[in-house]
Amino acid sequence: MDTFLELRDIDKSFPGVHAVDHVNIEVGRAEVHMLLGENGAGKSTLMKILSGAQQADSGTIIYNGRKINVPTPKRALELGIGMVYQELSLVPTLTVAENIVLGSDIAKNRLGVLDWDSIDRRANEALETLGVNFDTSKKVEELGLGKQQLVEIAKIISHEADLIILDEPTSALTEAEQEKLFNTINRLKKQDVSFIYITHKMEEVFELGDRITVLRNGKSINTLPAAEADEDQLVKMMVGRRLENQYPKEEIEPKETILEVKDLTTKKLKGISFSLRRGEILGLGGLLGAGRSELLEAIFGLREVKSGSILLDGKPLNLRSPVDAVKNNIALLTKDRHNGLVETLQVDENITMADIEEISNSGWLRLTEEEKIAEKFIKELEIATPSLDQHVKFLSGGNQQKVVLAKWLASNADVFLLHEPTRGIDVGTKVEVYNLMNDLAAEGKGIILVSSELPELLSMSDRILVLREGKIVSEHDRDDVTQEEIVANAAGASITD
Amino acid sequence: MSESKSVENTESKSPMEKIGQNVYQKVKSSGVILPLILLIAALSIISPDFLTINNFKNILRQVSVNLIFSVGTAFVILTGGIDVSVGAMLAFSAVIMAGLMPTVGMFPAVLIGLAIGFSLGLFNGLAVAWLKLPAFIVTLAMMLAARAFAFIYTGGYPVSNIPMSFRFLGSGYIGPFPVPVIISLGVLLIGVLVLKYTTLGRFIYGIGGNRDAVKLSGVNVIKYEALAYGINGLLAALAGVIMTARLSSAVPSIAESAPFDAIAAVVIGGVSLSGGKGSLWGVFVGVLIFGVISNGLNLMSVPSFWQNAVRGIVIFGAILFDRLRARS
Ligand SMILES: Nc1ncnc2c1ncn2[C@@H]1O[C@H](COP(=O)(O)OP(=O)(O)O)[C@@H](O)[C@H]1O
Ligand SMILES: [Mg+2]
Repeated sequence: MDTFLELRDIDKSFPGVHAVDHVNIEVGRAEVHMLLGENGAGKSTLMKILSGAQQADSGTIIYNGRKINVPTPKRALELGIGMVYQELSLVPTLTVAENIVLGSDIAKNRLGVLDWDSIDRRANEALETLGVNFDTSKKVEELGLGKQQLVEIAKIISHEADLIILDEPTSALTEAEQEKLFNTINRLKKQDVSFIYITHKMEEVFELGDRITVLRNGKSINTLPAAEADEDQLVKMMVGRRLENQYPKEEIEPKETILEVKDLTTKKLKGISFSLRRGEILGLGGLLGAGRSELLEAIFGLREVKSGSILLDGKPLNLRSPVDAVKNNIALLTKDRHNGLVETLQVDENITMADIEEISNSGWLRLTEEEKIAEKFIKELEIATPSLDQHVKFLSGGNQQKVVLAKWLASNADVFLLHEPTRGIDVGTKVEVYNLMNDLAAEGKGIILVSSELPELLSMSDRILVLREGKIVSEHDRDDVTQEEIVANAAGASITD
Repeated sequence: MSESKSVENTESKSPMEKIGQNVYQKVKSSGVILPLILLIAALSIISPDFLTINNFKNILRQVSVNLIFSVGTAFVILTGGIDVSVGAMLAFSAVIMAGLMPTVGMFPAVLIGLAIGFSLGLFNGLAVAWLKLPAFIVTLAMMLAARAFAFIYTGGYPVSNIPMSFRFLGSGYIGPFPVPVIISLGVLLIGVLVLKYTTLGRFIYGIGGNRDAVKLSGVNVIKYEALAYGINGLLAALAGVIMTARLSSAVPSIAESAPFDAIAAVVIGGVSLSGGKGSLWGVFVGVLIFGVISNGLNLMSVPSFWQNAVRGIVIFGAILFDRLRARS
């Protein structure tokens, strides 16, 4: 393989963190190089150094046989290096088309006036190369997270880079969209484009990867061909120890009913009825738009209920806002973690956000109490942060997710609505989250789990309800259901067509 | 573990040390302390009268009113909002207070004035937080209406039959310290405490940082956001009390430039206009910068028309300096 890019001895520290520790990596032409590692291992930082978004403290980048400097992302693009960031970098108030052409110069005609026809054409072409198609005149903020991710990817592809860096690109994509992305990658590979691909999903590693590099604590542990790697070995390299069981589900005898939903009808839900017992993990399956989010949001007081009722411990609730929900000890972990965090606040301040009563006395904060609670959860969830005072903005994505989880654990809720609780979290930490779910169940909490990762849904739920078009279409016990059945029920008629 | 170690480190310091360090950090990170020091150094060289204790007492007295309403404006800007009605709320509450003083007595009149300021601010706040109207427009409307009512109520004349004893609040001394200075520093200190040690302060920062996240944590964001505006109104009225006491009359056209002075001081002090970031210590420095400039220009007898030009240049320069510093 002819070496196309070489990172030599790259080193970078932040206050209190040695984020990238003298890392060496080589990437060949037309190679898909997978970059693995736990949350906070330094993957994003290393790649930001390559894309010009961050500067290394020391080290050399050899690209196409020359030593290069990448002071800015713009320079990186000129050199043919494009990156899709983990935390997306689109302008929410601009349209899809505007975002895609942003930063390129073909969009102006000779007089310097924007040429809207060519902007639209170019945006549509970019989406087409990805095999997706949607209205490019929509504002980005009106799109879901998955669509935003696609726009960002399309934008980088449209720059015709020779090296494309993708930082957890599929974390919000549906199966179908993911498949389209993979096809695009394979097609571009044939045109000699190289990729560095960061992911926590093992299927992707083996489906796409040519070679794999594992980072741990900022250091490069090993680089090996994907064909010679197996999952256990990779996990061990990432975590530093063996993982016995990826889905450590504990059987817990469910107790009395805690939450009951009767004939619930909202704009998107049509007469949903089910009950959740203490100690039970109830999984919700279904395709995007089937009404799973709407159901969680209705139980959290974010949706107008047209008819039907929600009962907690047998008492009907009148939920007009999240204030009411949290007062009744209901917690919602949102799908998009940016809705769960105030990035300009500190780690401890975020952890106690939903539990302010616990740490305050008629309006005055008890900061030592706050520190105690925060420290407890930082330790329990192994949140990697140099201190309690660190602003959440500076944590790696997975650690941010852990902070959101810590917030709800600290709030002493009785009902946990978990929407993709392990998104963007590494394997080792996933197991910790599952163990936490077990603990919560054992304490008699009720949990509703929405997850698009079917193995997770099937392994961790005691019972699974499948939703389609706002209705419950089937109910399954964990012991006798397969992924295929869930998928078939979720897709419904369209699969038998 | 590394995180527990660093936690112990901060605990081993005495509380005073901690607070001192904290103030130092906050002021330093607001960036403008250096321009202030440079300014003081330059003026000391130019004018021999500048670097005297008496003159500093003067400066503090001159900025006291500005400091009070700038603290209020900082509360609003920290939520990510803006309030351009500070001067109008100040004038409206002041003329009513002064008008009522002969009939209801001094103390009740002051309370009524403060209550009016708080209510007007709260009205702004509810319009913004609850009705989701744009803050700039809501407070612009308040600015026009409250100012107009101040003129209507007084017929355009100053209200001046107020008791001599009331003047104490504007020009009295407690020991060697002017009363307005004590009040304004008290407001600053209480503001700092509220922002750091109360749920209100926590949520003000939170709302400015990410309103949705705070709301989804089950917090009544409308209440806290509206309260920030209410506090701004209250402090505008308090500033009005002191101005009235100093001038011995309440003038309906008073404090026209107040909101802009406040916004300039707050932003120069390092508070982010998009909310969520900044501290009152920085705001204090921002207010001082303007005070020192006016004072210095007066000592050098620069005509007042020129003074505004200088202020404009300083605002621009300070912000530019701060951005360049942040980038490097
Ligand atoms: N801008 C920053 N300031 C301070 N610390 C940072 C910053 N960016 C990342 N870090 C820290 O560097 C480490 C590596 O982070 P990151 O590269 O995002 O990890 P990964 O992408 O592997 O999850 C983490 O401990 C993170 O908290
Ligand atoms: Mg990352």
